[in-house]
Formats: sequence, C-alpha cells, structure tokens
Amino acid sequence: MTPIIVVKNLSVQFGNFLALDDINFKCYPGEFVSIVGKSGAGKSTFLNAIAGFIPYKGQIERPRNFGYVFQNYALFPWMTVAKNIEFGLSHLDKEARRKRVEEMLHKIGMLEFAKRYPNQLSGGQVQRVALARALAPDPQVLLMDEPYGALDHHTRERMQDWLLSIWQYTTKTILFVTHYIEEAIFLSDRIIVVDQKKFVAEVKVPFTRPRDSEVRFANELLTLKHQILDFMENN
Amino acid sequence: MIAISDLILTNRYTKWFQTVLPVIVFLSLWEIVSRLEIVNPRLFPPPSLVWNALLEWAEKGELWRDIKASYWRMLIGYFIGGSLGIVVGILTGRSRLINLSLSPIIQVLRPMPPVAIIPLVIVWLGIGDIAKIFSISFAVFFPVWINTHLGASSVASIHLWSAKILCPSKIRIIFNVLIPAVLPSIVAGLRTSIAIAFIMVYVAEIAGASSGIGYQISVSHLAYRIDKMVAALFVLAFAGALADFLFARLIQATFPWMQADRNH
Repeated sequence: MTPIIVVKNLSVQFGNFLALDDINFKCYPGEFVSIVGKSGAGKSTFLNAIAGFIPYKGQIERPRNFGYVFQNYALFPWMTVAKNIEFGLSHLDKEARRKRVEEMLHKIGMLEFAKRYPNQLSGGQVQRVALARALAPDPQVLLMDEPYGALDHHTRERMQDWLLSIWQYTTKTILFVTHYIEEAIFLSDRIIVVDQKKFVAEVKVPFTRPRDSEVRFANELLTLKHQILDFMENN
Repeated sequence: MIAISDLILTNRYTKWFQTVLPVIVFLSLWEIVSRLEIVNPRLFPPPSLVWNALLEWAEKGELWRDIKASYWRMLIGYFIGGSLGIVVGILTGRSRLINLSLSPIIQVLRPMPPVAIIPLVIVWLGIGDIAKIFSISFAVFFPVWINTHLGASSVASIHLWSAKILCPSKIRIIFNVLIPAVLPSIVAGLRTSIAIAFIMVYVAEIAGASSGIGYQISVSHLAYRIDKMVAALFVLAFAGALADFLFARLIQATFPWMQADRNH
C-alpha cells in the first residue's frame, strides 16, 4: 500500500529554538495514529508542520484535502453551528450545502442546535461541531490536536467512544495528538512517542476493532501504558 | 433570617422605584436648598426654573433644531472618523509594512488632546460645519484606530489557520473571519468614541456656531441665563447617554454572539 502521508527529515526551528529534529514518518490510508509525549515535546508542532501552518525544513507529502480539529478556538464564535459547518463547503451549490450541513448535524446528533452560537454550547458539543466542520468537506486526512484536552474525564471518554463510532464508517486517516496515554491506546492502531524533539518509539496497539469501553479496563492496556511511559521517562 | 438581598430588587416595581427614588430625592434637595436661599439661587437655580427654561427653549422649536444640529454634526464626524479608524486599524494591524510606515505618525498625533486642535482648525476651515465635523472625526479616529489595530494584530492564528484550510477565497476569509474576529475590539473603540464625539461637538460649538446645544450653552453664558445653561447641560448629557444606550442595544441585537464566551 502507498502511504498517504510521508515525512522525511523534518526539522522545525523557531528562532534559536529547535522544536523538531530530523523526523521521519509514514502513515497509511485508513490508519488511526496517535502521537503522545510530554508538554513541549513537539507533538503539536509536528501536526502544524504537516498542515503547512509553520515553516519547516525537510519533505512532507500529504493530500491537499485535509481537515484539522483544534483544542481551543475550535469554532468561529461569530457563526452559528450550521454556518460553522457550512464554511468549508463553498465549492458546493446552496442546496447541496444545506443538505450536507443537515447530514453532518444529524451524524453528530445536534440537528436542533443548528442556530445556536458556540458560546451557547457545552465543551463537548463544541468539539462535536468542530469534528463535523472538519469532516463536512470530506477530507482524506484528519489532523486532531488534543481535541478533548479541555474536557472533563467523563465527557472525554464519551467523546472518544463517539469519535470511534463515527470513524468506523469512514475511511479517513487520523493523526491524533494527545498527552493522555490511555486515550491514545483506546483510539489508535499505532502510537508514536515523541520526546525531546524526536520520535523515540513506535507501538502497535493489539486490540481489535470495533472496540468497546471494556478495552479501557483491559490488563494489556495497562501493560502498554507502562511500556509507553518507560519510553518517555528513559529517553 | 431574611437576607438584605431579599429586601431589595424583589420585583419590577421596587426596582423601578429604587432607580427613580434617588433622582427624586436629589431634585427635591436641590429645589429646597435653592428656594430657601441656602445657596445663591441666581447661581444655582432650582430645578423648577431649569425645567421652565427648557420648556421656553422647546416652545419656539429651537430645542429640537439645536438637538438636530448637534446630533447631525456628531453623527457625520463620528461616521467619518470611525470608518477611517476601522480601515486604517485593520491595515496597520495586519500588514507589517503599513504598520511600520503609518504607526509612528499616528502614535505622535494620538496623545495630543483633540480639543487643542480646534483653534487651528478654525483658522484653516473657518467656523462652519466642515470645521466641526473635521474636529469630531479627528478625535474619534484615534480610539477606534488603536482598538481596531490591537484587535487585528492579535486575532487567534488558529481562526485564520482553520479558515485557510476550509476556504480557498481570501476575500471570504477577510469578511467572514478576520473582520468578525476584530469586531469586539472595533465595537469597544466605537463605544469609547461616543463620549469623545459629544465632548468634541460641545467644544466645537462653543468655539463658534449658530446652532447646537453647545452654542446654546455659550449664548446663555453670555446672557447670564444660568437656568438655561443647566438645562442645556442636561440635554447634552441626556443625548450622550441615549446615544450610548442605543449603540449598546444595536450591537446586542446585531451581534448576539458577542457576549462573554463560556468555552473560550
């Protein structure tokens, strides 16, 4: 299979500060890959470089058509939920846009919230709309930067279940940045550990799909968590 | 035990009463103090005389004419100064080059008290409406510019990044993302400027005019009509408060999202 994202010798420098050092990475269509690491390890910088938001050295190949979900400022506060989702659909005609927005709202179970503004929603709802907005133009790749980092434990777990249930029916490739190791294990096929500006380890997740909440209590999950923590501590 | 907060503001009528009562008390005290000649009533005319002066002013249709004249000058000056402030603020806030070339000039002019330019403006443009509108525009420009500039230069890059991914059209990004993102700062600048515009309209009118609320204060001063001066001051204050109230209502109705965010 040909990889959908290829990164070769990627380095990112902010002034005198080296944020990422000589990263090589590949990712295949339909894969769910998480990137974990401590704060400041370079996880978000990696996603921002792939998206082309920041200058970098090296080579990045990715599809032109991609989506991005941020942790904060996820939505435009001056647009209603429906307008936020519609914003990425300017290539469609009016009727097609209306249909697509309705379809996405239905998918995230928020049809009745179409006319609300983001400041009238809960944190979990904002993130659901943010995912709908990113998915509406039907991107091949979805980049997610700690999308659930600001949510409470319970809401976060419900959002994870929900994300998997949506992802199962798509063929999207997801790159997911998080500092919650359990979250990475529960969601991904593969986990990359970043530390000190480098990719220090790669872990394959053994759980089959579809996954249910029970995986969160499996012994293998704890073993894997230990293993990943070791990579982070001992590097 | 009954808390004090239960005793006040219990219903709409008491709330209304509590707002109006201090005004009634204040006016009554003023009336009494002036009538009993505790203070010189020629210098501090009682509210009843001020009210009569206001009625007299209104009877000849002059009150309405003066209010219209002042509001008209203020609105045009406010519109010109405000629009320029918004446009220049977005340009200096978003373009490094424009910022480098324009900001030093603006920053030198900004700390200047705008009323200080009025004598010079009279020399240049005379005492007609153009001079007044110019002075008001000049004063309104700076607060609108600085607020817009700061807002435009600190738009969350995440909003602009999201917009870039989702929409290929730069024009749409400017109108649908950049300007709405700066809007709360623009509104803050515009609101500050309402009071400034009223100061300027008053000062410009006492410096030379043939109509307007400021002109009436100036004329009443010469005629030693203190009752009318006080009446005109109240009209000016009321006009300013009304403009501010209408502005706040308009913003609330037009941009309902511009309330304190719960999430970000």
